Amino acid sequence: MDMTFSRRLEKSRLIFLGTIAWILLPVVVFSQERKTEKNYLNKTFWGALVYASKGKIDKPINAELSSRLKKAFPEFQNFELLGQHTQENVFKEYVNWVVPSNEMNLGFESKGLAEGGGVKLLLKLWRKKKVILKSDLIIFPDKPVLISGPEWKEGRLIFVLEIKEKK
Amino acid sequence: MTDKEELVTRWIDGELSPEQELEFKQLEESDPDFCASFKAASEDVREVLRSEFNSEKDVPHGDFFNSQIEKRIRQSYVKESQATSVLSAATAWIKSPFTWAAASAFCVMLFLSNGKLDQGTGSTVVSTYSPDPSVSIVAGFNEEAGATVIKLEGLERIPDDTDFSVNHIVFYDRQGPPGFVNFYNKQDEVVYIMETDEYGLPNVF
Repeated sequence: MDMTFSRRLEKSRLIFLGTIAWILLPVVVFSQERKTEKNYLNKTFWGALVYASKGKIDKPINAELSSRLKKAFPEFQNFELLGQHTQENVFKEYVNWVVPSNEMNLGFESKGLAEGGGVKLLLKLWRKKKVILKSDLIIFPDKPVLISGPEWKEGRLIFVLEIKEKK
Repeated sequence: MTDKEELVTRWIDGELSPEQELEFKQLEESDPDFCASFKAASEDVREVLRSEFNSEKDVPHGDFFNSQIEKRIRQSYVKESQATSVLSAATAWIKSPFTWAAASAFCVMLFLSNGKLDQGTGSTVVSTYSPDPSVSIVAGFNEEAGATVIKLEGLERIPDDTDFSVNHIVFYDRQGPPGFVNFYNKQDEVVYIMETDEYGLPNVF
């Protein structure tokens, strides 16, 4: 009698544990997906068009970006912000633009999240109606992409693309 | 076989019912010679059969036969006990504190690995390409600058009189027909509208 009872108890414990596991598994997977989706929507893209020059400029950019640019392009000493804007919602497969103009356009498409909190991007740089650069890359928070473009005036035009966590 | 012969044969075999027993006694009394002769004939047949066929014949290779039976019995016992032992081992495994410790460690590891998602390592250029053969590209991660740097050489120079400050775009939206993007300046004025065709080619108006 006791043996039968203990066997039943063991059996029911196994069933109980199995049921708990089956319930928890989808909950964990679903919460992971939600977290990934949240991570994706929490990202903001900041883009800028910068004029890099050896001479004097009118409106210098902030010190942090200037320092990065000087390290990346040591041939230039001064950097001026020509245009910037922040893209709040970057949806997958939609083309987004960084300070567009009649002369030059940098478009980027999100190709989804990458490991390590990055976002996969397809970049296209247009010179009027001609593509001059195509690039697949992964961009990470606070690790900007700096693209040194064509010459202009005494210096060069540089595109900056960065992702930041939404505040 | 007649009815009489059948009755006697069944009596010899001990298969008579009480009613048939009475019938047989009446026959024995009425025709004792027939019964005696038939009994004698039947006894002869039985003797012949016994002498010709040995009912208690030895099984050929008896030892082997017995060993095989014992083996089968042992195997069936082992299978039963194996099933029981697997179940009990699984139960013991689940009950074990080491199992719970390992599961907890795995959960902690999973949690920590999710935390790493937000940290980031550095931008990575997977590929670069220019359809224009006169353009050369140098791309890579600049550790000192903490940025991915793509340098393009051989591009057509932009005219000096191009005034980028005129088109100082602050934001844009996709209101309007599909494929159209409106670009706004600081004063929320539409500076221009960009339309992209099916090949992604931008047209600015």
